Amino acid sequence: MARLILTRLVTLIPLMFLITSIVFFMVRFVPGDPARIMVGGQRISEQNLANIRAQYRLDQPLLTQYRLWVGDLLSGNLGRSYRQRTEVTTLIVERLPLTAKLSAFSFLLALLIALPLGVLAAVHRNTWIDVGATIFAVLVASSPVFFTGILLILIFSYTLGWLPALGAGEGGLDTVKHLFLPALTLGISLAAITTRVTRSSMVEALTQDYIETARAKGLPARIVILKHAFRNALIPIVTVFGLLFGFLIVGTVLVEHTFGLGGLGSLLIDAVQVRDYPVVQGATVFIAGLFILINLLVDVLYAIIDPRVRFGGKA
Amino acid sequence: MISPPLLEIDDLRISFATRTNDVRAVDGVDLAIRPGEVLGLVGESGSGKSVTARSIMRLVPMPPGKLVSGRILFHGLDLTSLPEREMEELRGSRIAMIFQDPMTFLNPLLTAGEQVSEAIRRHQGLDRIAARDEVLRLFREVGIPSPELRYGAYPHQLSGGLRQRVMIAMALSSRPELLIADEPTTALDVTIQAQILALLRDLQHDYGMSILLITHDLGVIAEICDRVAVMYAGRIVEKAPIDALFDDPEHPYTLGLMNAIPRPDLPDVAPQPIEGSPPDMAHPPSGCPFHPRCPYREQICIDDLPRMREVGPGHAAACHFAGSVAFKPLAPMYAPAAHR
Amino acid sequence: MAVDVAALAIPTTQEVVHSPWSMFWWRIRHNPKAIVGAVIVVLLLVVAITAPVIAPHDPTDGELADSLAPPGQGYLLGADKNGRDILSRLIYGTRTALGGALMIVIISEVIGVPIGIWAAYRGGWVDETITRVWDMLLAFPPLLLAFAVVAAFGPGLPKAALALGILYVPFIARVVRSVTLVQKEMAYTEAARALGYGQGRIIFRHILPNCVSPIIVVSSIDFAYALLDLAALSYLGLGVQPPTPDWGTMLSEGQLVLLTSPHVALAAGLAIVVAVLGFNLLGDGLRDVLDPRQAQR
Repeated sequence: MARLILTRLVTLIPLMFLITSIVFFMVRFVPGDPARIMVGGQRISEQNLANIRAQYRLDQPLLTQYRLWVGDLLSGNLGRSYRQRTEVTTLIVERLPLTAKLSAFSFLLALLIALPLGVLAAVHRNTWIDVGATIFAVLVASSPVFFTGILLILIFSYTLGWLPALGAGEGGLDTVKHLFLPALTLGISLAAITTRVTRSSMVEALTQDYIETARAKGLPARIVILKHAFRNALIPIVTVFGLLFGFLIVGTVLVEHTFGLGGLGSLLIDAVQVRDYPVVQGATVFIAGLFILINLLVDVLYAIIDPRVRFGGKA
Repeated sequence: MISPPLLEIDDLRISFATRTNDVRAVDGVDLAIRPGEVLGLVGESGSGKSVTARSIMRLVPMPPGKLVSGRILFHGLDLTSLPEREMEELRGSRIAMIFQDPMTFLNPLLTAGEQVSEAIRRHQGLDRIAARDEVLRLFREVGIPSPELRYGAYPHQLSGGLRQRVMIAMALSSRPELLIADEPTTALDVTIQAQILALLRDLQHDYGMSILLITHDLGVIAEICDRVAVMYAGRIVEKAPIDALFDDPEHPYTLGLMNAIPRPDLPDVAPQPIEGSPPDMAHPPSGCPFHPRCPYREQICIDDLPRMREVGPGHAAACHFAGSVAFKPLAPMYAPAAHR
Repeated sequence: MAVDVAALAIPTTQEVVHSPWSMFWWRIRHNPKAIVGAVIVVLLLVVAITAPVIAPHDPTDGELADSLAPPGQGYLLGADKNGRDILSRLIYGTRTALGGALMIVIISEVIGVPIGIWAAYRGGWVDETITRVWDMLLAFPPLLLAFAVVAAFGPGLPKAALALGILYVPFIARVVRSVTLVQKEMAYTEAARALGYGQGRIIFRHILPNCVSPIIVVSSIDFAYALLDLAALSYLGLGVQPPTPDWGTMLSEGQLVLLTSPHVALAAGLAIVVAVLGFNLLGDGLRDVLDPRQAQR
């Protein structure tokens, strides 16, 4: 198991470096003066511009900048926002809890929708349940997550008045109420994709030989489906969830913007809109790091579920 | 030979619906198994033997399968019309089945012990602890060394022979009256095959259960069967006690099967495969289904479907010439007396 | 629950016995996904091409007096905040959407196809590293890096499309590489080499034709993703800039007036859904048709 983790880290850490380096070098290759760009359209004195350049090390040779920046990263310093005059790390830490709650909530809803729906669609193959689930999945998968959110706001907030549309609420139960629509939006978008995978992987599992053995033992249908088929079907499903994390990140960013939530996602978007590059850079690095972590967790999960991954070979 | 049959299959007909046609997989099978008897069901792939076996336990998917007609009586109880709940009770307890390839027929995510324990808990209502003891006892009985170790092993960690023993332990856990074995040795190495067959023989003696052994290999039949039924194109074409079958085959197909076996013990005898290939069961031939490949074919074979004809005690064949023409195999075959 | 678990054990198979071409057409005709998808895509193309002809109003010129007019009375789908006809904006928006997505797909293929072939031919550690890199990149969402690009270089469709085009390269390169690897080993390529044909000729006459069907399938699916990503960027104000009509920007404008005039957002959103759906279905359907391994349902 430890070896598994190590090998995955070895492949994933270069990715992290690749991405963060791309992000780093991008702004320094922009035509024009980076310092001026960061300032935006504001009027500013030459002296202040020079100060900015010094502060962000823009007057130093490129490689020195890179070296110092990597050093910063390794010590947890993600830079300093120009617009807000705060450490990027501080900003991230401030906003992380809300994003974490939203992501977790969405993921949970996605599981609660996709898994039962996928299993039912597989078990009642080609009946209206199956067809209905597939149509739902295809339609939602074709709708950008912000449109799904707008639709939900229209229905549940403006028409029915059940749930609040924007903002994150006061905390506790109020926040849960406020987060429900955003989480549902992201959740059903995720579910749209994972339902199809759940269904096909269940169908595949149900055609396996060991299912016949389970039936020949006289096990009731429920146990055959859940204990034997579903457990095996989980393996491809878990793989997909890993790949879907990228989708979850982007979706969270968009959903936060749509619903006016003050999380990590809106931090990123706002920074992009005002060209606050240090924040963009820092946030992207942070997200890339999360990405690595989640991928690792998925691999570990994989090993937990499938004993063939845990131990190959004969006893 | 006077005890009532344990299992009776009565004019069973099963077909499968495909896009274009209906395939007649089982086309009128009559079979009976007595208590304590080992009956071999032999035929090529596509002869319908596996479908027949599975239909006993109602494991055939319906659709696309369809029970056209026939009954399966177990102690007089018609299994074809039994409610599913009761069928589930029967499966794994009074009738059990072992399959061809234990690698694919065992769940890769559950330990060997768990899969056997599951069967025990299902039918005997024991708790996990008691079930585990029973599993270990069964493992010892089927010849699995270091049972405690093997209990927690996953299928991919076991050798082919061990896996098959686990399947046997699983099937025997509730002392079934009838064990159906579908090609239990085909996926195993030759040396292991002999071991598993010997194991089945011994267990059969100890438990007194009946075995329905499905195979395409006459050699396997010779090892442990008391009686044999030969199947072709969804029908039984010959049934006989094993010695009678080998001494005096009364159907050209049986003869063909015997002649097709390589005989390493007789270097001067070259095996002679049967010409042609099995029929398309969506459009079966007229008259006797074997006639396109039969060296003894006459006009009557093309016109009329032969009925089963008694040619000796407990020996019948479905050929117009059964009993009148002598079908002599190229080389004699014997069933070892060891299992009698 | 009367569930026949046994019935689930049989996968349905299709038996078709025809010549390759008639088989192809038969499969397409009997594949509802491909048909519906193709119809939608063709419709979109027609709308985009004939936009000046079919649009009832000028998409950028609005009658302020008619601001936020509901559907009906002269404006089939209503008007937006600036009094511009929504239907006309949607029609012209088709051009922007398809044009942008096309740019992305073309860029990714112009770069990706050669890289895929090259990686397959090169082999060795070059191939290994390249495949490693893009395997990792595949899971990382292109949109995130597109954000960084926009932050650095400024908003606008061309820059966003270029960035996304580059980031979409792994999708196509992977497929092309697999096909090339297989084709490289085929008998007729070996024969061609033995006859002295140059590498280039082999690539053009043997490898590329075999890449065509997988490329078509991937392109269709990439189109769908491209539409979504571009819409996202425009929605955030980072892509297409006003006053160019675009579904994403219309959606964000529509959200501001959602409470009183939902028709703006609904029209724009539905346009996106239909377009993405069309390409998704087409891609899925084509994959079923062109993939020699018949998918089991």
